[in-house]
Amino acid sequence: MLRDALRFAAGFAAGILLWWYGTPLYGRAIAATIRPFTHGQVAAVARQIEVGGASLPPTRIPFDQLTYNVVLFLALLATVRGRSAGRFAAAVAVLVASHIVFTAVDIVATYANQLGQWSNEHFNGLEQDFWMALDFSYRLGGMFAIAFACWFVVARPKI
Amino acid sequence: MRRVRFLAIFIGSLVVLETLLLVEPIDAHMIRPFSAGVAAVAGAVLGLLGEHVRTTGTMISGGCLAIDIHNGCNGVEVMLFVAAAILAFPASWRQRSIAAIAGAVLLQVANLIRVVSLYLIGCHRPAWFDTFHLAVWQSAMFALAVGYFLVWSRQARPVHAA
Repeated sequence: MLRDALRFAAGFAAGILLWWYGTPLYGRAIAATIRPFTHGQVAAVARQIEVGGASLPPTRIPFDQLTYNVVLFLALLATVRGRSAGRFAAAVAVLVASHIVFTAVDIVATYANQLGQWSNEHFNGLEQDFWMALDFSYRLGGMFAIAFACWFVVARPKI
Repeated sequence: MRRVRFLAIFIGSLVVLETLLLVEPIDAHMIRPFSAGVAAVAGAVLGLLGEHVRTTGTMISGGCLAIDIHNGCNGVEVMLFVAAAILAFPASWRQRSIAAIAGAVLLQVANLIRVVSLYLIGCHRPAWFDTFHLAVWQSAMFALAVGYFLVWSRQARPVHAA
């Protein structure tokens, strides 16, 4: 138990470092993935993603706030012994895919709710509520549930 | 199969519980009063630590900082996370009820430490506030929640259908 706790703490610290120093590079990779779907109107700048161009008003989203579930994932992963490479790769793929999807969701939620008149002209009330709820659920607990589920796939704990 | 069932119930329960947080009457009559309670207790603790603060509803205001306690800072979301995991685990209802209540108490104590420490960080090390507010404390709260669930689930006696 103590050894697991120490491994968990070490993984947590590694996760914080990876999140802090890796976010700018990771943000560029995620922005490049999303860019084709936004007609080239997405770019990563430091810890944020800038969106805007010919057809979209400029805005920024705090990309680093969408990815810090990697801290919990690495902390949990550090406690797993005898990892299967296949399950590990699948878990990482799901985690990265969730970052891509929820970065896109956060961009749409920002346009739907935070640009005043522009938002009201382009999204109806139901759409605004939907995108806000999806974004809110991810940020509030969903991102950690995804990290937990990814760890669960790798660790296969006894139930 | 049991693992798939656990994950399905966990994720399904969490989606339902988090959706309830978005329902306006629940927010107005349960979540905001609860957040005000968290603010009042945190304000009292800060007072004991020598900070001159005033609490008004969900706000804690002092000379150097004002913080608003709402979803994400009141510990409710992490309590729901643990509740969903406990609900998904095949233990008896008695075991699950006790675990959920004990977990809620543990997480609220941790959340109180989070709120108090964030106020102090905001006052004395404002440059660190965002990082601690988001990545460090939020991850630590969920790490505690997962740790609590894993320790409990190792000791709980699973009840499996024949």
